[in-house]
Amino acid sequence: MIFREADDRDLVLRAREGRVDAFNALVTRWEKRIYNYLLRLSPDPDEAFDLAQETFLKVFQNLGRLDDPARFGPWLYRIAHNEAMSLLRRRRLEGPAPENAPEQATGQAAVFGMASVEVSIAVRGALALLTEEQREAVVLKVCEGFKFEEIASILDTPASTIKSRVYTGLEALRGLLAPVGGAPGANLPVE
Amino acid sequence: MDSHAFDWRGYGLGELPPAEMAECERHLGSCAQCRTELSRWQATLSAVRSLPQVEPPRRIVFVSDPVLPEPWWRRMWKAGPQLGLASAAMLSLAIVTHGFLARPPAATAPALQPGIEARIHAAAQLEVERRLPAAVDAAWNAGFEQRLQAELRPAVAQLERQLTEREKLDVANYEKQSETTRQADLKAVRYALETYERRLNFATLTASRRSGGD
Repeated sequence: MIFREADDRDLVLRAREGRVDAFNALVTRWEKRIYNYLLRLSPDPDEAFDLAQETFLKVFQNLGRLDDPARFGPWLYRIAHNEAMSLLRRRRLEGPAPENAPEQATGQAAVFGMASVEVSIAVRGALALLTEEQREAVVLKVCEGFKFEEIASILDTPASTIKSRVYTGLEALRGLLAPVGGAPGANLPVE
Repeated sequence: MDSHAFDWRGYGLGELPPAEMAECERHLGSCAQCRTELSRWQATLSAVRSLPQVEPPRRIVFVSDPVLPEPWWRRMWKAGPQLGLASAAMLSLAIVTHGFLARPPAATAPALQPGIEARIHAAAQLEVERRLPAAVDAAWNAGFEQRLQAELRPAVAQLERQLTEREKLDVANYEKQSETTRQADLKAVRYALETYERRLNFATLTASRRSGGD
């Protein structure tokens, strides 16, 4: 379990009393994870940082509405998810999404026997090939360590659907990253 | 057991119930095919978990300190209505509390039997007849004292007014008499001065004549 529920709860209660230093402690604790989560959903670093700022601003404004302060983590991710989805919806309305060509192009190498930099490039490329729903579910499950029930509350989706998305996404990732016929990464898209 | 009967993704993610996890572990000890299957899933999970956590380009910080501190008089002004409201609330609470505590206790006398009630009435009647004359006298005396005070008060006030007027008249007469005396004294002084002047003139004239005749 990644949560530090007791600490978060104390900080949330203090922040609700108007202690901005307590809120800043919460931000310091979570900003890196939120930024990286948003970076998986929106690969543009500037955009991801703007989304992170918007997320924490919304959290600050709505902290009084959090029913259970011990559940601050999932609630924070839910706000971040909503912010990211709003951005993606706006982007779809404005026009076609920019292609992540470098990620996909370099994502053709396989995992086994590769250097860590190459692995991360390959994984990012493989993640980019998943659907938005699968990618977010896999990131929340594998990278962020949430339980299925917690992801269900973050995404406001049934836990069974979340489980299905995670399993399907992992199946696809294994096919994209694992060697086939002794050739690692053979399933990844080729330029 | 066939390896496909186990949820190796769930096992790798730690999402299986404890009993099922234990069963998987027991099976892994005896099935090489399932160990291979699990290792593939774990490699995929490890690869996804190996994604580096990037530092945000900047820190996100919320400012709490006021840019300029408010002057003391503005803080007092802002606190004024709150203090007034608190004072009014405390005063209202004190009044309500006093009213509640000062109320006479509710009558909770038990029901009396008819005989006892009659005896109490009789005893009360006797006590009233015994104390009534003295109470009437005291009331009469108290009334007489009040009437006397009521009749004497105007007379005393009138006497005081007469004394005041007399005093004013005496003062006026004294001032008038003093003025007359003063005027007479001034007249006498003026007469004496004129006499001295005439004598002086006469002496001066006589002296000049004598000096002229020489």
